[in-house]
Amino acid sequence: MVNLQLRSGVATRRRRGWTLIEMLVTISVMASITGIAIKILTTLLRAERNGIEHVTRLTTVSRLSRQFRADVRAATELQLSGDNPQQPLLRVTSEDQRQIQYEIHPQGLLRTEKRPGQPLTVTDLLRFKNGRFRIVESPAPPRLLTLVIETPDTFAIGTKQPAGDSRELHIEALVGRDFRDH
Amino acid sequence: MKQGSRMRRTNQPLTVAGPRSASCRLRRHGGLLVEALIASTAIGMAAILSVSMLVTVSGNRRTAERLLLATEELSNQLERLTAKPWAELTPELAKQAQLSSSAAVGLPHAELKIRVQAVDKPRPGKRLEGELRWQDRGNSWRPPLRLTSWVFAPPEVP
Repeated sequence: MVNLQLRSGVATRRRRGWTLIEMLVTISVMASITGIAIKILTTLLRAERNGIEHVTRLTTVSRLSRQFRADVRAATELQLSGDNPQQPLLRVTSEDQRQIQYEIHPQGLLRTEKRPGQPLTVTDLLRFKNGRFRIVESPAPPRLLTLVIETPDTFAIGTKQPAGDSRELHIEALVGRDFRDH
Repeated sequence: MKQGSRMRRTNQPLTVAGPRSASCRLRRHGGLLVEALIASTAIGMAAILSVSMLVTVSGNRRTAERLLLATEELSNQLERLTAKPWAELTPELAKQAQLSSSAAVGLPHAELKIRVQAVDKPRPGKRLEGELRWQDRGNSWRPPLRLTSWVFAPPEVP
């Protein structure tokens, strides 16, 4: 009887707590579950951030494309910066004497417009993250301007941007097309 | 409150506490595995759902990016054609139009067609109809993108 009581005492003492293996298994399972959950959450958050940037970029490109073509088509005088980085990328004088210029800004491309007889200058910042811009003129007439926008490749959603991988978008516009006589 | 808790402790019979705690302990031992399995299943389902969602979003983003590229490419093609002198703007010239290198890379198996048609209204001129199509996910053709531009005859040309 004494031995039995002692044995049952030992048995209940064993059952009362957690063994080291159980604790290790539990901790490792919980750690892996938490790790996977954190990974999913961070991926989704990054995907959301990339998605917002992507939509912003698409709308900005559409806006810039429309604006650039309208300005160049309405131009009577036009001046390119060439290789001088201090000069604005492009200066345009339109038929109605509006002075428009495009210059590179740390956050993208800045368009300013001065209307004759009005003291205010209309500014429009077209935001491009890590965007690079240049304007190329056709070597032979008719004068065709090409705005080249170079941006990082954003196809890989939810992942970090691949370093050095970029894509170009070309926007072409015919100078003075609005009043061109064929 | 303290008295009540003391009373409860003292009132609990020792004989009942033994078997109950043993059964609870047994349940807890089984519960660890079941809970871990349920949690793993839930996390796995969440992972599968989020991966499929990411794939869908990524595909939609690629489609939107290609649509933008195609729109700009077709606009550029039409702009280049409208820059040509009136007499040179013929259907044969439009057929020679070729995709730019960035569009050829960004739009898989892209096909460009531009038609030039003479129109009388509202003024004598030429209508340029551009059509660009490319293959999307699963090598299926997307509905073509179409843009139209007009060039009107100079005053001296009848």
